[in-house]
Amino acid sequence: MRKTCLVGILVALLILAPIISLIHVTFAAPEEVPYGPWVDEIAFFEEKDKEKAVDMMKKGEMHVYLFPIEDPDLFARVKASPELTYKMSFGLFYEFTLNPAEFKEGKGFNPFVNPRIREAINYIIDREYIADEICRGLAKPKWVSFISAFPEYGRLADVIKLIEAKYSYNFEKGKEIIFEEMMEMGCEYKDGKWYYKGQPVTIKVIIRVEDFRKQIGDYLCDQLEKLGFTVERLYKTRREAGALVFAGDPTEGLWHIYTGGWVSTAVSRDDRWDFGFFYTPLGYGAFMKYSKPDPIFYEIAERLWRGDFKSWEERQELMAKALELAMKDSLRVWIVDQISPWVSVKDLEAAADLSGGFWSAIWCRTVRFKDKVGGTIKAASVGILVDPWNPVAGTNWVYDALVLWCLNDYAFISNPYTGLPMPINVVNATVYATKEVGATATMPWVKLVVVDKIEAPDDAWWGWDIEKKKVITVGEAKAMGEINGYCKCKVVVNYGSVLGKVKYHDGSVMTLADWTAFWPFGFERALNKDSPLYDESAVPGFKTWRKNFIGRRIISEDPLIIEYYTNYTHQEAEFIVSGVAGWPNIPWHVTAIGILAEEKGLLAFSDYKAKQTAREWMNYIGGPSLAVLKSCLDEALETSYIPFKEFASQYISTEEAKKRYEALKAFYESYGHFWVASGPYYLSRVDFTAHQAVVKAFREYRFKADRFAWLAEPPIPEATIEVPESVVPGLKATFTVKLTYKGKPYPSERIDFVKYLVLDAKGNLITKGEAKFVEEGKYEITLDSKTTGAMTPGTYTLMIVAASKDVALPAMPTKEFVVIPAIEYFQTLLESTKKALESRIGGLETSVSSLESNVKSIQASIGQLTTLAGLSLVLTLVALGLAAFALLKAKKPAEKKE
Amino acid sequence: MKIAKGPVLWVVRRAIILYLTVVLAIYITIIVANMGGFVDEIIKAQLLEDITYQVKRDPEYRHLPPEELDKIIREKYRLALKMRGLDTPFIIRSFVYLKDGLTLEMGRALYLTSDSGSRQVKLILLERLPATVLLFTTAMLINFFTHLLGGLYLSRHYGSKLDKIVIALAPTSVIPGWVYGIFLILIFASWMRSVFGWGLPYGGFVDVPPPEDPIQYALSVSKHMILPLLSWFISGLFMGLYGSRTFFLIFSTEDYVTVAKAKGLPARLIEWRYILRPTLPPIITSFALGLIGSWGGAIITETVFNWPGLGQVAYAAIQAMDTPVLVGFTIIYAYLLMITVLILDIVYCIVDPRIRAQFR
Repeated sequence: MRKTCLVGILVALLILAPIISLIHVTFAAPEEVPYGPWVDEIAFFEEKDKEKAVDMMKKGEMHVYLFPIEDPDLFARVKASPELTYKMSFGLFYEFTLNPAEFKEGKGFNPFVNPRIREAINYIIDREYIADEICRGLAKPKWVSFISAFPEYGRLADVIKLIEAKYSYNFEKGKEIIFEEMMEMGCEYKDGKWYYKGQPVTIKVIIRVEDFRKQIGDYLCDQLEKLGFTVERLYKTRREAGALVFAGDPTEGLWHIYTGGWVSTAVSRDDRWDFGFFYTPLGYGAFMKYSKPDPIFYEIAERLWRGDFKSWEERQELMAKALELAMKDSLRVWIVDQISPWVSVKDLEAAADLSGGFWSAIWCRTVRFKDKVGGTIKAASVGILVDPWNPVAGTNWVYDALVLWCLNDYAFISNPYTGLPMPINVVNATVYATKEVGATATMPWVKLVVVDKIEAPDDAWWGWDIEKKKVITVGEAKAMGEINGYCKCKVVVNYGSVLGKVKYHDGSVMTLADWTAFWPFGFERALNKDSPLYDESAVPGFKTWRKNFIGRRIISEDPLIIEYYTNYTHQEAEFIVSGVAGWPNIPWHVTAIGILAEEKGLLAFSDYKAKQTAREWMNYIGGPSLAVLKSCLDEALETSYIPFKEFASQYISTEEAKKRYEALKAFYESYGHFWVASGPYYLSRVDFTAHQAVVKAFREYRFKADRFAWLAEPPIPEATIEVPESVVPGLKATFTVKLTYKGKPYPSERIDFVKYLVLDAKGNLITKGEAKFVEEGKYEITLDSKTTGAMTPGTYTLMIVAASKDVALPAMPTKEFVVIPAIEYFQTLLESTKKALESRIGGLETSVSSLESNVKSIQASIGQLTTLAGLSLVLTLVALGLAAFALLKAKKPAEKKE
Repeated sequence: MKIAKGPVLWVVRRAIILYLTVVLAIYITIIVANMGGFVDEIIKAQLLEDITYQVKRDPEYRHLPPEELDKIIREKYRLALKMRGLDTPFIIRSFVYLKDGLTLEMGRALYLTSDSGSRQVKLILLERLPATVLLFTTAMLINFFTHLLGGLYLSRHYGSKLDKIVIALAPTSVIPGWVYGIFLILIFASWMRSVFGWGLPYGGFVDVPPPEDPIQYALSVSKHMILPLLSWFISGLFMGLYGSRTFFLIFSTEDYVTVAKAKGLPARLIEWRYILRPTLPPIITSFALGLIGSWGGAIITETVFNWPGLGQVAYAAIQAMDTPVLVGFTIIYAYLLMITVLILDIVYCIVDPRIRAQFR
């Protein structure tokens, strides 16, 4: 019996096991999203050799290289590798700067004082060739200063596209203009060479040697030589060139053209300063003083610089005009936007900034191994750990920032695809702006209220009295005549429930003290020359802040809501919020030990002060500073040190101070440094000899790893255009534009605009406008009869500029269509009508013949029926005859019987 | 014990001459490193460029009127000059650099920081010294003794097959160590990983992330030293052996060696007493100079193997035109060289009877 039982159980188990495992597989808990980052650890290390870095990634010795791979050959290997993947960024761009100064007597001749010759340079350089052949596809041709992946380009694409068409490569046209102007300026063209007062016209081109500019510079020189100029190629490094171009006297005749390069590390949304900066004396460099922009252009550039416009529409109008006039001036001739690839192993996912690539705070907040939680990422860069870290005036190297972005937290970080501030520790904000600000708001977390005037309340904090050691309120500042109390913006920021909730890396919990206790610090540092904290290098920054800042007031602690009163303005309200809203990333007690060290004259927060006072520049993570900070921590712990005690003790008790210092001490003993912050990672180890920093996941971070998962890929709309077979002058024509993302219709509420341009074969603008929304992902463009009536037969191009609110890079597809002559159209129409009629007649004929055949068949049927009927009649008659005969025959025997 | 006056005076005189040579050399270095003050102009231009660009492109400042911006730029530029001491004339600064150098105070770097983030030139150099010594002094010691003993062996087996091979391969030493380094990386780090899934490190000082256990850490560092050491060993081997062998061969054909051989003294005794002993002064000199040389690191080898040595610091200082670091670098070597030469003079006095004889 027992045996049978056992066998039964075994059989049951055998049957159940696969079912259970199946259930397990089917109902396995979804991947647990951790708090903090996806990964457990990132080890940052140094690797300068890009070739080696690529090989190391292929072999799994490195997961990501935090530096762009801009060498075309190396990038080709990356593209071909099944182990690697990449993302692109667009922050770097090149141009030719043309010296506008007239040279001193005997220093040579400068043809570039003539704006028409400068403008003609646009025609003699083939940007497509530079992008495709010199940069081998890692660049995009460029005619204006705006980066083509950034919002300004998209917004003004209709104007820019026309400029691009107008100034496309046309060597002969450029030559014609240059020859005309050179003759006009008194030059002589002999035996294929230009001469001025008997001397050859020599163009000195300063060619930077560090990047593509070397080949680009050589290409320009070749083109100039083709025009008959004698060219002197001066190959220089940044340092050598800088001394000549930016600081040297431009009238000395030491250079004519310089191969300039610029970099933008974040997506820039507002480039209205470009015209003043690049073309007028508002820019920088000794030669800029000699620029003589057209008075209208200068006025527009200055107005844009100062923000002197009343509405967005007016601004756009000024920008459009400035773009055209900038081409006429051409003190700068723009060449290409470089495309920078950022490489990682294939199973690594991370968001990359459109401008900075992996150099952004979003990278470490989104990085993960595909379909996996945890793991260690080996991330290399060409440098790591450069300058000292301290919370007041430490490093500003990007190689330090790579690690600091992991450790620190912020009120906002930049959206990698739009450049707009993206809240991290802010729930929402309301911006009250006066009409003159002309601000707009697009993001749902910000509410914009336009008001006539804003007055800061009397109890808001304005400053700090360095003598009386007390807060100066707005009311007091008004009484002192410092301010009138009015400002341009009021920003109400809701940080949510953070006090008592947000944890720092040493386990301390955020309190109001972290927000307010060091209010006096900035004032003492910049204003009080008698204070041991005074630092001359802090003064310029403070002065700028002082000019804008009017007041601050905490109106609620849970949730924490702070009002800021400011004169800081921006066209986009989101930037007004991010410009004023702070976040206490470093807790007060950590800054306090640094303050103590500076007060005691042992260390200095800034490099400047360190040099002036012959002290060590304060470093919270290494070097001789550590021992000093450790002794300061011991002292602070022993004395329950509270900086600015008379003020800060309202917020910090002695017990609280002691508790905080104890937490810091324990942290220092565990990790050997003092960098305690509030970000998603903490600094676990620093190896200065090996140039390595290891950061580990801070699992007490209050946000989960998938918070920014939606940023994994830039949602660039994919656009397709459907054009009619032909367009007829005088007749309405309709085109369809379909916008999708990953095969699905692009949500219309996320589309900023869908503009269109119709260009003729020569690139002239025929018409432009905005496409009409039809349904989700579908837009329509209708050219009315008047527009088509003005179009001569030929090939035209329809260009679409579709911009999303979620990504700066617009979709710009083009499609050709044909306009046929009206006569041809009518002939075609006639032909088609004739064909249709013929086919209809043909159809009728067929029908008739089929009818005839039907009739015939009916007739045949009738004939058959008649025959049948006749036959039937005959048969009936025969039958009747037979019946009658039978009846007669039957009657006769009966009679006989009777 | 009575000390002879002659040798002491001689040493003192030598020390004074050497010190004055060092002072002169350092001052020339300062002048050259600054191109007679021209570097100041370059740095000033760059500072102005950087500050102007930074201020004019900074969203914080962008909305300010142009006059306001210029004011800020001027102020920042003034502070930047003051911070780097560029508000003081070069001639005065050149003597400050000289004083800092000679007193080994070394001062503060203009741009560079030490690995741990300090601007002190002393720390910039000292923090890199252990890694430099670890790699290059080890390489120097391995090479020195290999060449010495191998050369001695070959001089004894003059004309042997091995000797001929070494002579034939001697020209390969013109190829610098870092070239071998690149090949070694390709073979032992890259190719081996492709084939066996394991290989030696591509470079660096220690594994990523660094092991927490000190023994594991030391083992990891040793593993990272294999390829750079091998590259230097291969590069110097044949020329080094050839040089030592020839050196010993010359000495072994001296008359007194022939006499010793004729007297029938044992080969080992002849080697030690008649060959090695008289060659000791040049061997010591070569050893001492090699030792000092090894403390300077090697720019390209360090770059190829990503080794945190002093060579890279020197290169970075040249690139950045960081005069105090360059002066610091030079002064250390000048002092080391001065001390070595002085010590060698004293050692010669002791080991070389011919010099001793001068003071009798």
